[in-house]
Amino acid sequence: MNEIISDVSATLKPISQARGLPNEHYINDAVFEEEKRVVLFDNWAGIGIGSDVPNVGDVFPVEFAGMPLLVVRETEKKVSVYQNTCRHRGMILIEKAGNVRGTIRCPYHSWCYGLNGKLRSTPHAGGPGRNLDKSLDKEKLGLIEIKSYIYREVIFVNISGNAPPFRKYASKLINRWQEHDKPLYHGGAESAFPFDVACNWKLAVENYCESYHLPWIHPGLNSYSRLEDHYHIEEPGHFSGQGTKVYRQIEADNGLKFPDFEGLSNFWNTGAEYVAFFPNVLFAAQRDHAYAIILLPQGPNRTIERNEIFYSFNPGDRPEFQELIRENAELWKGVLSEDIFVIEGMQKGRKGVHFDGGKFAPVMDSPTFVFHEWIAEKIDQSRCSNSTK
Amino acid sequence: MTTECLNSKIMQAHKASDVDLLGQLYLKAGRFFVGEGNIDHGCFLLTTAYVFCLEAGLAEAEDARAILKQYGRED
Repeated sequence: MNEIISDVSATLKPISQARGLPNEHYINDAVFEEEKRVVLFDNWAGIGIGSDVPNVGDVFPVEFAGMPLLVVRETEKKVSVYQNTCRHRGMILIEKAGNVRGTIRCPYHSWCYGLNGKLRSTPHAGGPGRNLDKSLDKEKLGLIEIKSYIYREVIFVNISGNAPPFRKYASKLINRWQEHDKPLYHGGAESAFPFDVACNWKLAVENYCESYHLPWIHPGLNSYSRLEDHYHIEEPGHFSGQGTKVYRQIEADNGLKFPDFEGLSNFWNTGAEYVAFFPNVLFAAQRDHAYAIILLPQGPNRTIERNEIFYSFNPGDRPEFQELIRENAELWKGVLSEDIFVIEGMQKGRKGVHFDGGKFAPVMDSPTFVFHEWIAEKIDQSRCSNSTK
Repeated sequence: MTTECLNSKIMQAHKASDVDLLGQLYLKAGRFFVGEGNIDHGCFLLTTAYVFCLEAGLAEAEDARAILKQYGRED
């Protein structure tokens, strides 16, 4: 009989009676492994961005919750993701990002794979200078491809292969932000700033999707974007977050502003939305730039946050925006880093053995509850299905 | 070029991790031994040439493969 390692029943109650996910979901290795499988691998999780591999032949290894993945720019328009493991002896294929000029060669016995994952050669496999063997069917020994899809420049993967196609999985967000379905251009090196935070990845989601904390943690916003200017975004089972009705564009001293994404409705003149797309990508949609925060879980207590900013134009073509792009990155780096002590503090708090998951403030915490409920449902469904097997 | 000289160049290329040059030198060495009738050793060297040429993205990969294929060592 399986040992009960956490009890999510209180999280599945209505918000007024519910409690948040219990401590084990933040500090326990066994629960981390369970969530890895049920939450991260069974759904579409973000692992990187398209500009990690700008040129054909570029390879970018990612260890996602312990799973070795390899992002490959196969053609100008196609990015593929493979398990970063040789089909021969299980050697890690690529350990550093770079360009492989057409062939992925295992550093152990030099089995060679094309950018399309196909096994091209098995040197000396049939004896010295003999590269064939009847039992080696190259068609069946290509790299294991992981289902992937790029949305808003984020590379999503469904590692188990069990989720619906991405556009179905993400249809509610795609529809909500249809107007923003435009090409995004990464801002360059300064527009990428990772944080290495000492907390469970879910705490970054929870903090992101509510506006309740804004006046206390981001007091700089109070002068122009007050709590009452925000609204909740809730799509149970899919995403949650917050919107503002008073978005203000960054402006250079000389009045220069970033060009808007084309064709947006008037709503976006002063509207902006910040959505936690379950499980691990935090998106922002604004009139003149966007960003994505990809949460890469390193264990129950540690997360790498990749913060990446995008624009409506290719910065390489518009040098006049270089300084404003730098200023904007500094601005967001400042705002987003204000949250670090909170998410790390909540992690510390979850060592409190009498903490019961927390009481939600029903009016203000409902987007956070939507996320907790989604996690609890995934865990509950998995445990129920395991217990009936 | 003598085989000693070729061998020395190959060792230098290994030291420098010069994949392009390794592909070309092993191809030359492989062709030499095949030409001498030492098919097994020649194919051993051509296999190495094939791998380095693939890795370097050199068109000569196809040359190495063609010879290997001729002797039933590659498909």
